[in-house]
Amino acid sequence: MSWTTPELESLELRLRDAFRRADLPAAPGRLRTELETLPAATRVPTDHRGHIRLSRSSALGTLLAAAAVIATVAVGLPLLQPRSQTGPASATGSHLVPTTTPSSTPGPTLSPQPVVMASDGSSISGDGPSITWTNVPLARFGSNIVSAVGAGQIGGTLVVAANDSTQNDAKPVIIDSRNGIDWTKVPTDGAEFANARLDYLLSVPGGLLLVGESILMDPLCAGGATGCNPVSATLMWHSSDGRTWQPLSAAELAPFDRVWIYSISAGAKGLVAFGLHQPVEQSSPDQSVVFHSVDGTGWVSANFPDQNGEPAGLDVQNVTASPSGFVAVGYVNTAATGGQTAEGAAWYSEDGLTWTRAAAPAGATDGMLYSAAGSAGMVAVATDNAVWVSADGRAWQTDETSPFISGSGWLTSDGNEILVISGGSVAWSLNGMTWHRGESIPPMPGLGTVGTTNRAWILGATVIAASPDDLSLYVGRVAGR
Amino acid sequence: MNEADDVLAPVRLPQRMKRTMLGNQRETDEQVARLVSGGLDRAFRLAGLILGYAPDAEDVTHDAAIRALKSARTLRDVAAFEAWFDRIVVNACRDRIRRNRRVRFVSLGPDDDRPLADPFQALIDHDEALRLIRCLDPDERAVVVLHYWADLPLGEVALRLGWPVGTVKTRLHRALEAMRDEERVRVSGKVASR
Repeated sequence: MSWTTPELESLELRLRDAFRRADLPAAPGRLRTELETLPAATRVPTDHRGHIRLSRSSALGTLLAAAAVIATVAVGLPLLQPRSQTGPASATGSHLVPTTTPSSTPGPTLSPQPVVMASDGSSISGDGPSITWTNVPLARFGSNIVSAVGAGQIGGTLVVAANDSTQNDAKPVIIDSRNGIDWTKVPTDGAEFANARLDYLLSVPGGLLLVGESILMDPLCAGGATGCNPVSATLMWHSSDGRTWQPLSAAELAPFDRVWIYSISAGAKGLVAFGLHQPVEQSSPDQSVVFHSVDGTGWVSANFPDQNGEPAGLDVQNVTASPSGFVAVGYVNTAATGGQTAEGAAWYSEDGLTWTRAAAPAGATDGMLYSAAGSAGMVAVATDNAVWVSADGRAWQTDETSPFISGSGWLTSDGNEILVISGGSVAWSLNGMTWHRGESIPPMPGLGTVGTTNRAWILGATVIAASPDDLSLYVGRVAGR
Repeated sequence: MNEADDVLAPVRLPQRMKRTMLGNQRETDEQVARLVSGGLDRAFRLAGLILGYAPDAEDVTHDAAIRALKSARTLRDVAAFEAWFDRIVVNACRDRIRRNRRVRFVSLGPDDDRPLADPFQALIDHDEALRLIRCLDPDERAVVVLHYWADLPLGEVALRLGWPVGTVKTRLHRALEAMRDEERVRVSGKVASR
C-alpha cells in the first residue's frame, strides 16, 4: 500500500483541530421566523436564485395533508376489540390482507388488546409475539472492535458474520451456535480470507453466501496515481455448512470488476445485487449496475431500463427479495424541474433480470430508503419516515397513519414476516398493513431511525440483531415458537 | 350480520379517550416543534459543513425542519431527538448534493452568482485541512463531518446514516485516503509552480 498510517492519523488530527476552531454561523433569523409562522405560509417559496422551491411547498402540502389525515383518523376510528373474539382485524381497501396471525403458533397469552385501525386500512393490535433478548458480547472473538454484518442459519446452526476492525484494518470473524447462547469461532485465518472485510451474509441454495470486499489498495491506483478512483474489489465466499468457506473465483467475480455493492438481497427467485461501477478516472461518473444470480455463484447483468430512460437521473437505495420476485426503492429526479426535485420511486422484477417501474403514490416526494417484504405485501420507508405499502410491489400507496412508525427502530424481514424492532416493542406483519405488536424484553434503546436495514435478521424462531453500539449481538427468542 | 361484517363494524371510542389521544398527539407535536427550533443552529451548521454553501444549507435546514415537524408523531423517545433530526438533515443534504451533481450538465446559471462572503465557503477555503473535504462525495463528506465535527463515534454515525458500522469505517477510510491524495496533488502542484 502506498499510504502510511501516521499520514492519515495526522490528517485526522488536523481535521479535528480545524473543526474545533471553526467559528460557525447560527441559523439565519429569517429561517427561524419562517418556520415559526409556517401554518400561515401560503406563498410559493423561492430559493436564493428566485427559483420556485418545490420541495418546500410540496413538503408543506404533505404536512397539511398529514394533519388532515390525522384529524380524519382521530374522529373516525380506533376500535377496541378483544383478541379472543375474531383474531386480528381485517383491513379494507385494495390490499391483500391475511386473516391469520403472523405466527403459525399463538403468541404469549395477553389480556384483551386494543386493535387500532386507521382510515387507510392499516391496523395494529397487541397480540404479536414478544422477543426476549440475550446479549452476546463480541469482543472475545477479536482483538479490536468486532461488529456483526449479517446472520444466517444452516442445518439448525446459527451463523454470524462480523469484522474485527480498526479504522485502517479489518479481519473477518465468523461465529456459529446451535442454541444462540454458546458461540464458537469459525477459523478465518486461511488465505481465503486474507485482506478481506465482510459486508453481507445471505442464504442461498445449498448454503450461505458471504459478500465482502478487499481492504487492499486498488492496484490500478497503487503508487498514488493522480486522479485515480480507488475501488475495493468485491469478494464472495460460499459455504454448505457455515464452517468451511470456498471463495468465488476471479472468473465468477468478473462481473463485479470495479463495482461496489451497496444493496443485495436473496429470496425464492435468486439474488439481486445493486452496485456502483466506479471508473478508474475520478473525473468519470459512477454508473449504477444491477446483477442477478440463481445461486450466488454465477452472476449476470440485469436489465434496468429506467437507468437510461430518466433524463435527470435516479438512485436505487435498497433492494428486497419478495415471494414473487424483487422490489427496489429509491428516487427519480424530476425532469420537469431539471432534476432539482426528486420523487420517491419503486421498481419490481419477477425474475431479477427485467425491471419495471412501479406505480408510486400520488404526490409522493421523498426518496425511499429501505424496504422489507412479507408473504402478503411489503413496506418501504422514505427519508422522512413516510411509509409506502404494496401488496405486490407493482403499485404502492402511502400509509401515513401506519401504526408501526415509531421514530426509531430497525426493519427486517425473512420473506414471510416483516419485523420492526423499536425500543420496548416489536411489531410483526405479513403485509405491511396489519401489524401485531409484542414486547421487546428488555427494551433495546438507542436504535436508529425506523427503516434501518441489515441490522437484524429473522432466522426461524430466533431473531439476531446487532447491538446499537456494534459491540455485541442480541439473540432474541420469539415467544411461542 | 356475519362474522366478517362484525370484524369490520366500527366501534367508536368514548369521546374522553379520543380527547386524550388527540391531547397526547398535540403535546408530542409541540415538544418536537420546540426541539426543532432549539436544534436549528446545529442543523444549519451540520448542513453548511456538508454542503459548503450557506444558501443551500438554509434551504436544506428549512426542508429538514418541515420533514421533522411533519413526522413529529413518529418520534416516540424525545431523548433520541438529536440523532433523529441529524438523520433527517443529513439525508436532505445527500439528496441536495446528489441532485446538484446530477444536473451539473444542465444549465443552472453560472456559479459566480454566489455571494463571495459565504461563511461556510470562507471557512472551508481558508483552512488547509477543511479544504480537502471538497474532493469527497456526499456520503464521505457526511461521514467526515459527523465524525470529526459532531465528534460522534462511528456507531453513532452509522445510526444517523442508516449504514452498518463497517460501511461507515470503509467510507471514512476512503475519505481520508482521498483527502490525502488530494493534498499530495496540491503539494506537488505548488512545488511544480515554484
